[in-house]
Amino acid sequence: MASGVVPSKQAVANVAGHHTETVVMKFQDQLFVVATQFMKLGTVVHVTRDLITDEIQGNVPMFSTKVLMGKDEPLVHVMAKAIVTELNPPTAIVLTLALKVTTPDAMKEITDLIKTCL
Amino acid sequence: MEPKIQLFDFTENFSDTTVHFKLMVLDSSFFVWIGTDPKLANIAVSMPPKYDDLPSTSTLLGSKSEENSASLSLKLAKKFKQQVFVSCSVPFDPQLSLLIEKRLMEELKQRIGS
Repeated sequence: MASGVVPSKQAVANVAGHHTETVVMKFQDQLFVVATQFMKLGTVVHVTRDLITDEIQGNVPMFSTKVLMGKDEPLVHVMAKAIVTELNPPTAIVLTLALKVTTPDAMKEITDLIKTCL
Repeated sequence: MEPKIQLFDFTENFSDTTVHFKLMVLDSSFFVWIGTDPKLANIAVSMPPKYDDLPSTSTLLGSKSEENSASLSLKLAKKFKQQVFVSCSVPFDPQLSLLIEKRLMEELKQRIGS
């Protein structure tokens, strides 16, 4: 479904034995990304792109994460950064995570699933 | 595999303003976006009341002084007894707000079992 002024797409997969769904809504100024195994939004994280003018780091994208709602624990920030770095979008992202498995392999599969929605 | 999350898009013309709606129905919660521009300026969340009559609300994104989304999410949480996420960015106009609310209620009654 990619109609209307704000295109949205969803995908379904089985990740580590759990029914997993992702939804991406492409707003002009922001990306709204849902990754869930509970069919709820869960933790809401706002990821913004940092501007870097570093000669050594060059064009390496950097992101700041802020938990808007839910558990503000290190793992959430790590997962959000891992996903967003992989997606590397030009805009800020509102990312919602509600996951049962948080292993690196599962994260990779979930990130790939989100990519199919972009 | 069939998706369990349902997405609905619809557009409505109120006199000379075109308002777009996006609805995402999740497990015992839903997300609503209402806007004239394709932007996500704010998000408010409300939880249904458990003991007393008044749901609680919080602004997740955007200006805290923006009351539109917060008040709408309160009303929806109370009515549907679910967790509600609302993002509403339309020009302030009491008449328009009323029409939007009416249209949204029609849609929600169809899409959400309560």
